[in-house]
Amino acid sequence: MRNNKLVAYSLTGVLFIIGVVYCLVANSEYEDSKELDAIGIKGETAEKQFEASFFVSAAVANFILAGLVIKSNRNVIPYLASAGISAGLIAIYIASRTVGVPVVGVEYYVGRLDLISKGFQAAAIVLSVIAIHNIRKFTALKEVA
Amino acid sequence: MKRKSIDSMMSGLAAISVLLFSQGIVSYAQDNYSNATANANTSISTSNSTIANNATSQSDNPTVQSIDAAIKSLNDGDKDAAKKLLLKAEESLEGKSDLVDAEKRVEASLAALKDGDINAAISHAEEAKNNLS
Repeated sequence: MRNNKLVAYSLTGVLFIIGVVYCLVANSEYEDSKELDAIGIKGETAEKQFEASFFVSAAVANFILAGLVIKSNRNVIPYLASAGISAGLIAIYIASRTVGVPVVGVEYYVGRLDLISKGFQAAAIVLSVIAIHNIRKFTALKEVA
Repeated sequence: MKRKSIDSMMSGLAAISVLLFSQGIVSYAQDNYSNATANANTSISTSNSTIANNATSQSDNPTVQSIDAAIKSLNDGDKDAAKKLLLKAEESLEGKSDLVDAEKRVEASLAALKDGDINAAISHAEEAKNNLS
């Protein structure tokens, strides 16, 4: 189980970094919304505010998950939630760059922060799967013993 | 058990390394693509500067004129002027449901400009112009 602790600490770090990246993106969107509002582009201002709120929510979710993962004691739920939310955010991102998503539509620009967050989200999924695998194996061995 | 855990841990770390490495490759590829686009754009904009100027003067569409001027500012390295012109284009496209694609391209150009990716900003501005013509 010592190795699983290492996985849990790594996943906590990854989730924390994802949260920080989303905070940076949310701040950027908020700054844009203020600028657009000052010019008087109302439709785009509302879209930017929606995006900022969404990214703040994603950041908060990742910080909460980081806390739950570090406190989890052979409980797979925080890992399942981490993998599920990361996969969901990747899916939403791909949809926003291809078929479009409600409110925002299709976005054409793929930024550096986007790629960084997607890389870390993929890492979060891999770490969560490893942790779940380890916990299940440990539980099965304990039952046999 | 311990050995298997170590093996799975190592597999995990290897997977993360591969992901981070591939991320590096993606960034490198993106940079190269941007540079290639930049070179193409530079050569196109240089060889077609006269045509572009004529197009600017010939176009009656103020949005196209703003985008043309923004592209010129981007080529000249004047980011502030480019941003103002792109915002002007964005303002003129606001609420026009038939020109959503052009508006999204202008937004992408602004986002690229904010990211410091001038080549992508020019490329998206050109696309916006194409969507308007």
